[in-house]
Amino acid sequence: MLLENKVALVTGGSRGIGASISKKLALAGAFVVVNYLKNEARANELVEEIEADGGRALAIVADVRDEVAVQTMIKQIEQQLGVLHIVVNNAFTPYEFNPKNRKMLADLTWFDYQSQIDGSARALMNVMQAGLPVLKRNASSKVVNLTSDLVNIPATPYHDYVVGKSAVMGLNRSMAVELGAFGIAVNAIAPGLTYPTESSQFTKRDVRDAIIEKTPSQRLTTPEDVAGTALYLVSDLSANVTGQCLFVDGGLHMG
Amino acid sequence: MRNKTTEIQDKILTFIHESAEDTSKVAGGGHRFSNLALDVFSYQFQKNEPYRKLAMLKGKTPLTVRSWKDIPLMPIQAFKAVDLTTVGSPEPEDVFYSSGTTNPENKSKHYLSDLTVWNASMKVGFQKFVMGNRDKMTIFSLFPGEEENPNSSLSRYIDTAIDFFGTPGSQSFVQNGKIDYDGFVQALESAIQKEEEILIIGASFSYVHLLDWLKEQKKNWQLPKGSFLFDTGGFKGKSKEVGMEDLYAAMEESLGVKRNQILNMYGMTEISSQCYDDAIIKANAGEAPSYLKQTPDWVHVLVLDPETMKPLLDGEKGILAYYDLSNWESCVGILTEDMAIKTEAGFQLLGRAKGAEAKGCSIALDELLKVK
Amino acid sequence: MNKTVTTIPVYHLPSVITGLEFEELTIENAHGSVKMVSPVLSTDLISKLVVSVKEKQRAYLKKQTTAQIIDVIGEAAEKWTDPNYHLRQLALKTLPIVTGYDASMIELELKRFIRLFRKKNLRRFVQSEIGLFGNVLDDFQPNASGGFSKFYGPDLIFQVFSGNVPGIQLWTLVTALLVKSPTIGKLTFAEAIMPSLFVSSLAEVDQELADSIALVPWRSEEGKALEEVAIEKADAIIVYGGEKTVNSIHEKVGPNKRVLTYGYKIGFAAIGKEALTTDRYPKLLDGLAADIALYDQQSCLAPQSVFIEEGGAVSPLEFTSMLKNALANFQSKHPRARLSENELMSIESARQKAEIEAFTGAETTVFKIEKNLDYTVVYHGRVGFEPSPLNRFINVFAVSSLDEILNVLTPYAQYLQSAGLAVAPKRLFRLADELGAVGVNRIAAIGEMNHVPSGWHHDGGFNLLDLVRVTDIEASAEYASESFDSDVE
Repeated sequence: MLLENKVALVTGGSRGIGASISKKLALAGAFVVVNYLKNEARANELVEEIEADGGRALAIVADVRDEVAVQTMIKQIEQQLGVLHIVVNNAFTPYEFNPKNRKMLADLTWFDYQSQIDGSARALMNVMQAGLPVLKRNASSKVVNLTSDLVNIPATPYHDYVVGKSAVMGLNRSMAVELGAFGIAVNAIAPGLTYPTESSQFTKRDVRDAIIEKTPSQRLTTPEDVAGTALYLVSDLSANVTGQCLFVDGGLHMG
Repeated sequence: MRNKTTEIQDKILTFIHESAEDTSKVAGGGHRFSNLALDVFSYQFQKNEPYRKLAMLKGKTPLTVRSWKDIPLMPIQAFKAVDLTTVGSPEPEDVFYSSGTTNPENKSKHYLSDLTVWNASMKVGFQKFVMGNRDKMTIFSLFPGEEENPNSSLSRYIDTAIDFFGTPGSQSFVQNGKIDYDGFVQALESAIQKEEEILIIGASFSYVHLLDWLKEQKKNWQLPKGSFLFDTGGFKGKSKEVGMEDLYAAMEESLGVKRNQILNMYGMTEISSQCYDDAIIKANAGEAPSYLKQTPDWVHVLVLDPETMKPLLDGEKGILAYYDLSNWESCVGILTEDMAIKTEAGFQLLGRAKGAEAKGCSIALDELLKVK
Repeated sequence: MNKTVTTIPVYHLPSVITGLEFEELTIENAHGSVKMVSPVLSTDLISKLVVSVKEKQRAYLKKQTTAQIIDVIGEAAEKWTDPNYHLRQLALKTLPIVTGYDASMIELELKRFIRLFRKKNLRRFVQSEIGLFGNVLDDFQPNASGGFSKFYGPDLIFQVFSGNVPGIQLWTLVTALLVKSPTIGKLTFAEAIMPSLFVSSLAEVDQELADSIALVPWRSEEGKALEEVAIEKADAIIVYGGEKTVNSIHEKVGPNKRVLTYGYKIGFAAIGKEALTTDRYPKLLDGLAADIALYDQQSCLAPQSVFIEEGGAVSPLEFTSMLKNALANFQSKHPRARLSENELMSIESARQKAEIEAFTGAETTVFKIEKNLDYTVVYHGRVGFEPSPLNRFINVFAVSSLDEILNVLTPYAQYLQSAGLAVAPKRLFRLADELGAVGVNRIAAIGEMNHVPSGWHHDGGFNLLDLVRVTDIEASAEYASESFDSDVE
């Protein structure tokens, strides 16, 4: 199995894209720590689902925006699992992708930006700073950061969201530079509009159709699509790949 | 805490006793062994701090381990460096120390707060592999008993054998660190006269001393039919260097036993069970022995590739890993320093790995240890 | 996989020795197959070889000037700088099979090594040690006390080689030639190729010069009688080897002959905090990994422990974690040799020891790949010194100051040799002096520990000076001789 004897942490791993990634990694043999923010029942349900499929997982609550909570989570992982090889930074501050109701540039407050930055850059900082000492002990480790293709093609200008995800894109590269020498590969995934997820439920059919029309593959991205790329990036299949961002959007953006 | 401790012992005792009644009862495709091994590991993970830390370093914790084969292995060297105990041992019922070295810091320590499981493991294994259908035998030991040699697991083992399986004349002939040859000869000749089946128990080096003495005295005997020699230990820089097969040949000559009347036992201070070859089992069944070591049902072994530490296929040479349910107080999985080959019929020990010499001009660790 | 068997002579005999029987030893492994051919030996043959090389020394070698000898060796070395040179190709084909070292690593290292024997380097070598460009080996030269002196090499040198690091034997083979001494060499089957082939190259340039050297391999345990003959006939003995070999030779030789020993040694590296800046550390990392990994740490020049000073921009622990990655990278470029069971067990046992340290509370971290034993990096959060089981196993010690390392090195004084040092100039000389006092005899840059310059002092001794004896014509004799000139006024 691709991820035999590996331990993976998926932040925001209990639902949407995160849940798909959690399942995918567990199926490939990893022990998956499903991090969640609020819905314990849902996280446990996912763990049970993974276990029913023969995988192994553990749900741990932590608000990734909270430094102390993240440190506690990493400590828990160390105590219960001893090691950690893979981190998927997937959590983000809840965002409603609603093209009809998005905030215009003039209406945005700093709070809007701040909350997206907290959910992306700050979360990344918290998770990496707490997790790095553990990752640096491994012969090799993998970090995957979820960003968005909106960073490159802001078809709908969700300014605050794009700011947060752009920060991820920048950090993705600079982290890759510093961490390469430690055997830690850092890569990003930029999904296109991923449907169905809770965040994308407000993106109505007309917009979806418009996107599909421009997409070479003629369809939207599914959480499962993203999970496949995540599996590639956290496994040895992607050996010596770092600092990259893979767009999983049916070819809408071509880097 | 007491409950958990009692509970885990009870489970193991049940397993051992059911194995004694009927091996097939506990076999069950190995699931029972595996499940109980995982229980024991979880228990030890909670209570044995060094073992927990080792498990964490290896990423093999009760959450991630799913089969007995994944249970982390405690290197046997660790028994010298650290106290490995689940109970915490202010007043252990017994501590076993390894013999050999004079420096107490280089002795292995195996703490036992309760000998119930150890006794059960010893007796059930001894009954099956040594006694067979017999209830009692005349046991003469060339290795000291506990009184003479406290804190030795082998001495306790021999005392237990004599107490439990020996006829009234059974005893150890070692006093003040010396074999009492006169007493031994007297007892032996009297037993031979009465045609009693005798079991002589000794460490390999005890036989070397005995054989030297017999040679000096120009004595030899023909042990009564049904008698056995029981040998354990091999040679680790003790006494003079003799190959095991040479030793057995000399034993055959001086004591009038056939090769298939010599049984070898594999045991260690750090574990609570023993493995035996099939000499007696096969002799009782009228079959030719393979001399391969047999594991009791509560012990499983693996042979690991020294490069990858992954299990090797049957027939390949590697390091012996020893999983012993009766080791509930320390570590269920132990990495020995013995090289072995495993087959379906049992495992064969091939001695310790030798230190490596440098190939170039840099002095290697092992050589430096030799000269220091 | 190349299944063809390459046949290679692993000996060199003077051309007058003929009519011998030969035996073969075939080595076959994943890298290929080599048939090593060498003569069947007897004490008679060794005696014959002795007579032959001594005769050649008298008749030819001793009449050559040092400059002429340098020319021959230099020309032979130049041949090896040509990638198409047939003996170089033969060496590169067979050495990986016999030694197990990575083929591309051998190629790179051998290429660098052989350049040390270019004419210009040999001249520097002789000049640095004897001066006068070696003329004092050719004729009486004026000395500082008013007379004249001439240096003489031993009448016969018996060289006992060991180890499988390719080429190290060339140092003393060349040294013997430079002091105009004939050599009987006992090769080891572990690496008999480079000395044999290099002397063949000498023969291509100057057959008579090469005829003053005889090299044959035998196994120490089988060749006691051969060794006795060689020791008896030799005036000086050069021994490479472990403590056991060196001691046994010393015992046999007795007190009256000169014995030069190159025993097994320990190297280490020390990195000061000033070198651990964020812009400098990547280069240090690469260099240190190469120092550790070249020839799988088997060369005595390689480090067995590393000391890293706290207080730099990168902490010792962080640096160690990166060192692990640098070694992994080296492994993907130049894989470690396949190891014997004993070597693997030795590494495994050292790993276990480190892990026991790690879970018994010491500040120890073991960096390794779980999958195999390719490399192991053990970080100790305290000062200490640990010899390594070699084969890319390194102990790293964090120290609050490099001054702390002197105490831990002292017990190993007799084994110390190379130190790789990364410190600023103002500390270099002070630290070098302190290390020198403890027994270190070579200080190199990190990344260059395995590369010695020509003119280095092997194990802290002199190469040529330790072999020669001197004859002085004192001033009185010189002046007195004037009075015996028949034409004196």
